[in-house]
Amino acid sequence: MNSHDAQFILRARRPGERDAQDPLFAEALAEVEKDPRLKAWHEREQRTDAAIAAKFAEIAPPPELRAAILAGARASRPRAGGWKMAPWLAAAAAVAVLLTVTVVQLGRPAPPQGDALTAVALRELITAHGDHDAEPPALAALQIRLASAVGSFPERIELRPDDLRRQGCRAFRVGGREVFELCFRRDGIWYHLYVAPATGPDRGVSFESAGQFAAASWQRGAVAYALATDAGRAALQRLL
Amino acid sequence: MNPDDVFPRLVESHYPGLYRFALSLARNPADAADLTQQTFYIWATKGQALREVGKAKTWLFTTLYREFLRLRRRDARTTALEDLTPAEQDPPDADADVIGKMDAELVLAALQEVPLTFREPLALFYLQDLSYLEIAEVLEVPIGTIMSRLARGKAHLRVLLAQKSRGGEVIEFPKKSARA
Repeated sequence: MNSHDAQFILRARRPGERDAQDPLFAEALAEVEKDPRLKAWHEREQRTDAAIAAKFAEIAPPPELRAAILAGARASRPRAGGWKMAPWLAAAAAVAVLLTVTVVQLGRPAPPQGDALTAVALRELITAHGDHDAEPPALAALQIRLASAVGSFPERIELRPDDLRRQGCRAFRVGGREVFELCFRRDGIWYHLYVAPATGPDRGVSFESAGQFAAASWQRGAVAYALATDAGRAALQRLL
Repeated sequence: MNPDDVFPRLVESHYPGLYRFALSLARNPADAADLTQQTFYIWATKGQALREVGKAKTWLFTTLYREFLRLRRRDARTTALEDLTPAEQDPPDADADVIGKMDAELVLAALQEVPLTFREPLALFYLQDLSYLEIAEVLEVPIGTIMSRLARGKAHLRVLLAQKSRGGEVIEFPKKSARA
Protein backbone atom coordinates (compact mmCIF):
# COMPACT_ATOMS: atom_id res chain seq x y z
CA MET A 1 0.00 0.00 0.00
CA ASN A 2 1.35 3.41 -0.93
CA SER A 3 0.44 6.84 0.36
CA HIS A 4 -2.15 7.42 -2.38
CA ASP A 5 -3.90 4.12 -1.61
CA ALA A 6 -3.88 4.92 2.10
CA GLN A 7 -5.47 8.31 1.45
CA PHE A 8 -8.18 6.74 -0.71
CA ILE A 9 -9.02 4.15 1.95
CA LEU A 10 -8.88 6.53 4.90
CA ARG A 11 -11.47 8.83 3.35
CA ALA A 12 -13.94 6.09 4.25
CA ARG A 13 -12.84 5.99 7.90
CA ARG A 14 -15.25 7.62 10.31
CA PRO A 15 -13.83 10.16 12.73
CA GLY A 16 -12.80 8.75 16.09
CA GLU A 17 -12.38 5.13 17.04
CA ARG A 18 -15.51 3.61 15.53
CA ASP A 19 -13.55 1.85 12.79
CA ALA A 20 -10.55 1.01 14.95
CA GLN A 21 -10.99 -2.74 14.49
CA ASP A 22 -11.14 -2.69 10.70
CA PRO A 23 -8.02 -4.40 9.27
CA LEU A 24 -8.11 -2.36 6.05
CA PHE A 25 -7.87 0.87 8.01
CA ALA A 26 -5.21 -0.62 10.28
CA GLU A 27 -3.02 -1.20 7.25
CA ALA A 28 -3.63 2.32 5.95
CA LEU A 29 -2.94 3.79 9.39
CA ALA A 30 0.37 1.95 9.50
CA GLU A 31 1.23 3.84 6.30
CA VAL A 32 0.16 7.09 7.97
CA GLU A 33 2.64 6.52 10.78
CA LYS A 34 5.47 6.31 8.25
CA ASP A 35 4.65 9.52 6.40
CA PRO A 36 4.40 12.86 8.29
CA ARG A 37 2.64 14.58 5.36
CA LEU A 38 0.07 11.82 5.18
CA LYS A 39 -0.35 11.97 8.93
CA ALA A 40 -1.06 15.72 8.84
CA TRP A 41 -3.55 15.18 6.01
CA HIS A 42 -5.29 12.40 7.93
CA GLU A 43 -5.63 14.53 11.07
CA ARG A 44 -7.14 17.37 9.02
CA GLU A 45 -9.47 14.93 7.25
CA GLN A 46 -10.69 13.49 10.55
CA ARG A 47 -11.23 16.96 12.07
CA THR A 48 -13.16 18.13 9.03
CA ASP A 49 -15.29 14.99 8.94
CA ALA A 50 -15.99 15.31 12.66
CA ALA A 51 -17.06 18.94 12.17
CA ILE A 52 -19.42 18.04 9.32
CA ALA A 53 -20.83 15.06 11.22
CA ALA A 54 -21.45 17.28 14.26
CA LYS A 55 -23.37 19.75 12.11
CA PHE A 56 -25.38 16.94 10.56
CA ALA A 57 -26.26 15.68 14.04
CA GLU A 58 -27.69 19.10 14.90
CA ILE A 59 -30.50 18.58 12.36
CA ALA A 60 -33.45 17.57 14.48
CA PRO A 61 -36.41 15.60 13.17
CA PRO A 62 -39.79 17.34 13.43
CA PRO A 63 -40.99 17.19 17.04
CA GLU A 64 -44.13 15.23 16.18
CA LEU A 65 -42.40 12.58 14.08
CA ARG A 66 -41.50 10.13 16.84
CA ALA A 67 -44.99 10.24 18.32
CA ALA A 68 -46.51 9.80 14.85
CA ILE A 69 -44.42 6.70 14.20
CA LEU A 70 -45.36 5.12 17.52
CA ALA A 71 -49.02 6.05 17.14
CA GLY A 72 -49.02 4.58 13.65
CA ALA A 73 -47.60 1.32 14.93
CA ARG A 74 -50.22 1.14 17.68
CA ALA A 75 -52.95 1.70 15.11
CA SER A 76 -51.59 -1.16 13.02
CA ARG A 77 -51.65 -3.74 15.76
CA PRO A 78 -53.96 -6.65 15.07
CA ARG A 79 -57.03 -6.43 17.20
CA ALA A 80 -57.76 -9.08 19.75
CA GLY A 81 -60.19 -11.53 18.27
CA GLY A 82 -61.28 -15.13 18.24
CA TRP A 83 -63.29 -15.05 21.44
CA LYS A 84 -66.45 -17.07 21.40
CA MET A 85 -69.82 -16.05 22.75
CA ALA A 86 -72.37 -18.29 24.28
CA PRO A 87 -75.33 -18.70 21.84
CA TRP A 88 -77.67 -16.69 24.09
CA LEU A 89 -75.13 -13.93 24.35
CA ALA A 90 -74.63 -13.91 20.60
CA ALA A 91 -78.38 -13.64 20.04
CA ALA A 92 -78.68 -10.82 22.57
CA ALA A 93 -75.74 -9.05 21.00
CA ALA A 94 -77.27 -9.43 17.54
CA VAL A 95 -80.52 -7.86 18.74
CA ALA A 96 -78.62 -5.07 20.44
CA VAL A 97 -76.58 -4.41 17.30
CA LEU A 98 -79.71 -4.45 15.17
CA LEU A 99 -81.43 -1.98 17.47
CA THR A 100 -78.37 0.22 17.55
CA VAL A 101 -78.00 0.15 13.78
CA THR A 102 -81.67 0.97 13.36
CA VAL A 103 -81.47 3.88 15.76
CA VAL A 104 -78.27 5.13 14.15
CA GLN A 105 -79.71 4.74 10.65
CA LEU A 106 -82.84 6.61 11.67
CA GLY A 107 -80.68 9.48 12.82
CA ARG A 108 -78.62 9.51 9.66
CA PRO A 109 -78.95 12.16 6.97
CA ALA A 110 -80.24 11.37 3.51
CA PRO A 111 -77.33 10.19 1.38
CA PRO A 112 -76.42 12.48 -1.52
CA GLN A 113 -77.03 11.33 -5.08
CA GLY A 114 -74.76 11.37 -8.10
CA ASP A 115 -71.49 9.84 -9.20
CA ALA A 116 -69.16 12.59 -7.99
CA LEU A 117 -66.62 10.97 -5.70
CA THR A 118 -67.60 13.06 -2.66
CA ALA A 119 -71.22 11.93 -3.11
CA VAL A 120 -70.08 8.32 -3.59
CA ALA A 121 -67.96 8.54 -0.44
CA LEU A 122 -70.76 10.04 1.66
CA ARG A 123 -73.31 7.57 0.34
CA GLU A 124 -71.03 4.66 1.04
CA LEU A 125 -70.30 5.94 4.51
CA ILE A 126 -73.91 6.69 5.41
CA THR A 127 -75.59 3.63 3.98
CA ALA A 128 -73.25 0.79 3.25
CA HIS A 129 -70.07 0.98 5.24
CA GLY A 130 -69.19 -2.19 7.11
CA ASP A 131 -66.58 -2.97 9.74
CA HIS A 132 -62.93 -2.00 9.64
CA ASP A 133 -61.38 -5.36 10.27
CA ALA A 134 -61.46 -6.75 6.77
CA GLU A 135 -58.39 -5.07 5.26
CA PRO A 136 -55.94 -7.56 3.77
CA PRO A 137 -52.57 -7.70 5.57
CA ALA A 138 -50.80 -6.29 2.50
CA LEU A 139 -52.60 -2.99 3.06
CA ALA A 140 -51.65 -2.69 6.71
CA ALA A 141 -48.55 -0.63 5.94
CA LEU A 142 -50.59 1.74 3.85
CA GLN A 143 -53.22 2.07 6.56
CA ILE A 144 -50.56 2.97 9.10
CA ARG A 145 -49.07 5.45 6.74
CA LEU A 146 -52.40 7.11 6.29
CA ALA A 147 -52.98 7.03 10.03
CA SER A 148 -49.97 9.20 10.72
CA ALA A 149 -48.99 10.93 7.49
CA VAL A 150 -47.55 14.36 8.09
CA GLY A 151 -48.82 17.28 6.01
CA SER A 152 -51.73 17.78 3.68
CA PHE A 153 -53.22 14.62 2.18
CA PRO A 154 -53.69 16.06 -1.32
CA GLU A 155 -50.00 16.96 -1.30
CA ARG A 156 -48.71 13.82 0.38
CA ILE A 157 -50.81 10.89 -0.73
CA GLU A 158 -50.26 9.32 -4.10
CA LEU A 159 -51.91 5.96 -4.74
CA ARG A 160 -52.45 3.86 -7.82
CA PRO A 161 -55.72 2.01 -8.31
CA ASP A 162 -53.82 -0.85 -10.00
CA ASP A 163 -51.64 -1.30 -6.90
CA LEU A 164 -54.68 -1.24 -4.63
CA ARG A 165 -56.41 -3.85 -6.74
CA ARG A 166 -53.33 -6.07 -6.66
CA GLN A 167 -53.14 -5.72 -2.88
CA GLY A 168 -56.71 -6.86 -2.47
CA CYS A 169 -58.15 -3.53 -1.39
CA ARG A 170 -61.90 -3.46 -0.88
CA ALA A 171 -63.58 -2.06 -4.01
CA PHE A 172 -67.01 -1.42 -5.44
CA ARG A 173 -68.33 -0.13 -8.75
CA VAL A 174 -70.19 3.13 -9.22
CA GLY A 175 -71.22 4.48 -12.61
CA GLY A 176 -68.97 1.94 -14.31
CA ARG A 177 -65.83 2.90 -12.43
CA GLU A 178 -64.04 0.95 -9.76
CA VAL A 179 -63.72 2.76 -6.42
CA PHE A 180 -61.28 1.53 -3.78
CA GLU A 181 -61.79 2.16 -0.09
CA LEU A 182 -59.18 2.36 2.64
CA CYS A 183 -60.16 3.02 6.25
CA PHE A 184 -57.81 4.24 8.91
CA ARG A 185 -58.06 5.59 12.41
CA ARG A 186 -56.32 8.73 13.43
CA ASP A 187 -56.58 10.54 16.77
CA GLY A 188 -59.53 8.32 17.64
CA ILE A 189 -61.46 9.21 14.48
CA TRP A 190 -62.17 6.88 11.59
CA TYR A 191 -61.43 8.26 8.15
CA HIS A 192 -62.25 6.62 4.84
CA LEU A 193 -60.22 7.27 1.73
CA TYR A 194 -61.81 6.49 -1.63
CA VAL A 195 -59.61 6.19 -4.68
CA ALA A 196 -60.74 5.85 -8.28
CA PRO A 197 -59.23 6.18 -11.75
CA ALA A 198 -60.06 9.53 -13.32
CA THR A 199 -59.60 11.54 -16.48
CA GLY A 200 -59.25 15.25 -17.10
CA PRO A 201 -57.13 17.90 -15.44
CA ASP A 202 -56.09 17.95 -11.77
CA ARG A 203 -58.66 19.43 -9.40
CA GLY A 204 -58.24 21.15 -6.07
CA VAL A 205 -60.08 20.19 -2.90
CA SER A 206 -63.87 20.51 -2.80
CA PHE A 207 -66.13 19.66 0.14
CA GLU A 208 -69.56 18.15 0.56
CA SER A 209 -71.37 17.52 3.85
CA ALA A 210 -74.45 15.67 5.00
CA GLY A 211 -75.02 16.30 8.70
CA GLN A 212 -71.93 15.18 10.56
CA PHE A 213 -70.75 13.27 7.51
CA ALA A 214 -68.22 15.21 5.50
CA ALA A 215 -66.18 14.40 2.43
CA ALA A 216 -63.53 16.22 0.45
CA SER A 217 -62.36 15.26 -2.98
CA TRP A 218 -59.50 16.20 -5.26
CA GLN A 219 -57.81 14.85 -8.35
CA ARG A 220 -54.12 14.37 -8.96
CA GLY A 221 -52.74 12.76 -12.08
CA ALA A 222 -55.20 10.21 -13.35
CA VAL A 223 -56.54 9.46 -9.89
CA ALA A 224 -59.48 10.95 -7.99
CA TYR A 225 -59.51 10.86 -4.20
CA ALA A 226 -62.22 11.43 -1.63
CA LEU A 227 -61.60 11.53 2.08
CA ALA A 228 -64.65 11.12 4.29
CA THR A 229 -65.49 10.94 7.96
CA ASP A 230 -68.53 10.97 10.21
CA ALA A 231 -66.74 13.27 12.65
CA GLY A 232 -67.56 16.52 10.89
CA ARG A 233 -65.82 18.85 8.50
CA ALA A 234 -63.35 20.20 11.04
CA ALA A 235 -61.92 16.71 11.56
CA LEU A 236 -61.58 16.37 7.82
CA GLN A 237 -59.88 19.70 7.38
CA ARG A 238 -57.14 18.70 9.80
CA LEU A 239 -55.85 16.30 7.13
CA LEU A 240 -56.16 18.60 4.13
CA MET B 1 -37.00 -8.98 24.81
CA ASN B 2 -40.76 -8.56 24.63
CA PRO B 3 -41.65 -7.87 20.96
CA ASP B 4 -43.78 -4.94 22.14
CA ASP B 5 -40.64 -3.32 23.56
CA VAL B 6 -38.57 -3.77 20.42
CA PHE B 7 -40.43 -1.33 18.23
CA PRO B 8 -40.29 1.74 20.53
CA ARG B 9 -36.62 1.03 21.17
CA LEU B 10 -35.88 0.84 17.48
CA VAL B 11 -37.77 4.06 16.88
CA GLU B 12 -35.92 5.75 19.73
CA SER B 13 -32.52 4.59 18.50
CA HIS B 14 -32.85 5.13 14.80
CA TYR B 15 -35.52 7.62 13.83
CA PRO B 16 -33.26 10.70 14.03
CA GLY B 17 -30.61 9.06 11.85
CA LEU B 18 -33.15 7.74 9.40
CA TYR B 19 -34.77 11.16 9.22
CA ARG B 20 -31.42 12.83 8.51
CA PHE B 21 -30.60 10.28 5.84
CA ALA B 22 -34.05 10.79 4.31
CA LEU B 23 -33.63 14.56 4.48
CA SER B 24 -30.33 14.38 2.64
CA LEU B 25 -31.93 12.22 -0.06
CA ALA B 26 -35.33 13.83 -0.45
CA ARG B 27 -34.19 17.38 0.29
CA ASN B 28 -37.36 18.50 2.01
CA PRO B 29 -38.59 17.86 5.57
CA ALA B 30 -42.07 16.64 4.66
CA ASP B 31 -40.77 13.97 2.29
CA ALA B 32 -38.09 13.03 4.81
CA ALA B 33 -40.66 12.59 7.59
CA ASP B 34 -42.85 10.59 5.24
CA LEU B 35 -39.99 8.29 4.24
CA THR B 36 -39.01 7.78 7.87
CA GLN B 37 -42.55 6.89 8.84
CA GLN B 38 -42.98 4.61 5.88
CA THR B 39 -39.80 2.78 6.85
CA PHE B 40 -41.12 2.06 10.33
CA TYR B 41 -44.47 1.06 8.93
CA ILE B 42 -42.77 -1.51 6.78
CA TRP B 43 -40.88 -2.70 9.83
CA ALA B 44 -44.17 -2.97 11.73
CA THR B 45 -45.61 -5.19 9.02
CA LYS B 46 -42.59 -7.12 7.74
CA GLY B 47 -39.46 -6.32 9.65
CA GLN B 48 -40.50 -8.04 12.85
CA ALA B 49 -39.96 -11.29 11.00
CA LEU B 50 -36.27 -10.42 11.06
CA ARG B 51 -34.88 -12.69 13.73
CA GLU B 52 -31.67 -10.82 14.44
CA VAL B 53 -32.59 -7.51 16.00
CA GLY B 54 -28.91 -6.58 15.68
CA LYS B 55 -29.45 -6.35 11.93
CA ALA B 56 -32.39 -4.02 12.31
CA LYS B 57 -30.28 -0.90 11.80
CA THR B 58 -29.03 -1.86 8.33
CA TRP B 59 -32.47 -3.28 7.52
CA LEU B 60 -34.10 0.06 8.34
CA PHE B 61 -31.60 2.11 6.35
CA THR B 62 -31.85 -0.30 3.41
CA THR B 63 -35.64 -0.15 3.52
CA LEU B 64 -35.68 3.63 3.66
CA TYR B 65 -33.30 3.79 0.73
CA ARG B 66 -35.39 1.33 -1.31
CA GLU B 67 -38.52 3.31 -0.55
CA PHE B 68 -36.78 6.47 -1.70
CA LEU B 69 -35.78 4.77 -4.94
CA ARG B 70 -39.24 3.38 -5.42
CA LEU B 71 -40.75 6.84 -5.11
CA ARG B 72 -38.25 8.44 -7.34
CA ARG B 73 -37.35 7.39 -10.82
CA ARG B 74 -33.62 7.54 -10.84
CA ASP B 75 -31.83 9.71 -13.34
CA ALA B 76 -29.60 7.93 -15.79
CA ARG B 77 -26.12 7.87 -14.40
CA THR B 78 -23.59 8.69 -17.05
CA THR B 79 -20.67 9.53 -14.82
CA ALA B 80 -17.80 7.09 -14.68
CA LEU B 81 -18.00 6.56 -10.98
CA GLU B 82 -14.85 4.69 -10.30
CA ASP B 83 -12.40 7.13 -11.90
CA LEU B 84 -11.60 10.10 -9.73
CA THR B 85 -10.58 13.23 -11.55
CA PRO B 86 -7.29 14.71 -10.38
CA ALA B 87 -9.18 17.57 -8.72
CA GLU B 88 -11.32 15.09 -6.81
CA GLN B 89 -8.28 13.19 -5.67
CA ASP B 90 -7.07 16.40 -4.13
CA PRO B 91 -10.10 18.43 -3.05
CA PRO B 92 -9.72 21.85 -1.49
CA ASP B 93 -9.12 21.71 2.24
CA ALA B 94 -12.12 22.64 4.32
CA ASP B 95 -11.28 24.19 7.64
CA ALA B 96 -12.95 22.32 10.49
CA ASP B 97 -13.10 25.57 12.49
CA VAL B 98 -14.91 27.35 9.67
CA ILE B 99 -17.38 24.48 9.38
CA GLY B 100 -17.85 24.55 13.14
CA LYS B 101 -19.02 28.14 12.90
CA MET B 102 -21.43 27.51 10.03
CA ASP B 103 -25.14 26.96 10.61
CA ALA B 104 -26.16 23.31 10.52
CA GLU B 105 -28.81 24.25 7.95
CA LEU B 106 -26.12 25.64 5.67
CA VAL B 107 -24.02 22.50 5.99
CA LEU B 108 -27.11 20.42 5.25
CA ALA B 109 -27.91 22.62 2.24
CA ALA B 110 -24.40 21.97 0.91
CA LEU B 111 -24.81 18.24 1.43
CA GLN B 112 -28.13 18.32 -0.38
CA GLU B 113 -26.49 19.93 -3.40
CA VAL B 114 -24.04 17.07 -3.83
CA PRO B 115 -25.18 14.85 -6.74
CA LEU B 116 -27.37 12.02 -5.50
CA THR B 117 -24.97 9.23 -6.41
CA PHE B 118 -22.39 10.65 -4.04
CA ARG B 119 -24.83 12.09 -1.55
CA GLU B 120 -26.27 8.68 -0.67
CA PRO B 121 -23.08 7.22 0.83
CA LEU B 122 -21.95 10.61 2.10
CA ALA B 123 -25.07 11.13 4.20
CA LEU B 124 -24.74 7.66 5.70
CA PHE B 125 -21.05 8.30 6.36
CA TYR B 126 -21.72 11.54 8.23
CA LEU B 127 -24.48 9.94 10.27
CA GLN B 128 -21.60 7.86 11.65
CA ASP B 129 -23.91 5.00 12.53
CA LEU B 130 -22.76 2.80 9.68
CA SER B 131 -19.32 1.63 8.60
CA TYR B 132 -18.34 1.72 4.93
CA LEU B 133 -19.11 -2.02 4.82
CA GLU B 134 -22.63 -1.41 6.13
CA ILE B 135 -23.08 1.54 3.75
CA ALA B 136 -22.16 -0.77 0.86
CA GLU B 137 -24.76 -3.25 2.13
CA VAL B 138 -27.47 -0.60 2.45
CA LEU B 139 -26.85 0.87 -0.99
CA GLU B 140 -26.12 -2.53 -2.52
CA VAL B 141 -22.93 -1.49 -4.28
CA PRO B 142 -19.41 -2.93 -4.05
CA ILE B 143 -17.07 -1.68 -1.33
CA GLY B 144 -14.63 -0.14 -3.82
CA THR B 145 -17.47 1.82 -5.37
CA ILE B 146 -18.51 3.10 -1.98
CA MET B 147 -14.98 4.27 -1.27
CA SER B 148 -14.68 6.13 -4.55
CA ARG B 149 -18.14 7.66 -4.13
CA LEU B 150 -17.20 8.81 -0.65
CA ALA B 151 -14.00 10.37 -1.98
CA ARG B 152 -15.85 12.13 -4.79
CA GLY B 153 -18.73 13.11 -2.56
CA LYS B 154 -16.38 14.66 -0.04
CA ALA B 155 -14.66 16.60 -2.79
CA HIS B 156 -18.01 17.96 -4.00
CA LEU B 157 -19.12 18.77 -0.49
CA ARG B 158 -15.97 20.66 0.39
CA VAL B 159 -16.22 22.83 -2.67
CA LEU B 160 -19.84 23.59 -1.76
CA LEU B 161 -18.99 24.25 1.88
CA ALA B 162 -16.19 26.60 0.90
CA GLN B 163 -18.60 28.36 -1.43
CA LYS B 164 -21.29 28.70 1.23
CA SER B 165 -18.90 29.77 3.97
CA ARG B 166 -17.81 32.64 1.73
CA GLY B 167 -21.39 33.73 1.15
CA GLY B 168 -22.06 32.04 -2.15
CA GLU B 169 -18.89 32.88 -4.03
CA VAL B 170 -18.27 30.19 -6.65
CA ILE B 171 -15.08 28.25 -6.08
CA GLU B 172 -14.12 25.73 -8.70
CA PHE B 173 -12.10 22.60 -8.37
CA PRO B 174 -8.42 23.43 -8.84
CA LYS B 175 -7.30 22.83 -12.43
CA LYS B 176 -4.81 20.06 -12.99
CA SER B 177 -2.23 22.50 -14.33
CA ALA B 178 -2.64 24.76 -11.28
CA ARG B 179 -1.78 21.90 -8.98
CA ALA B 180 1.40 20.85 -10.74
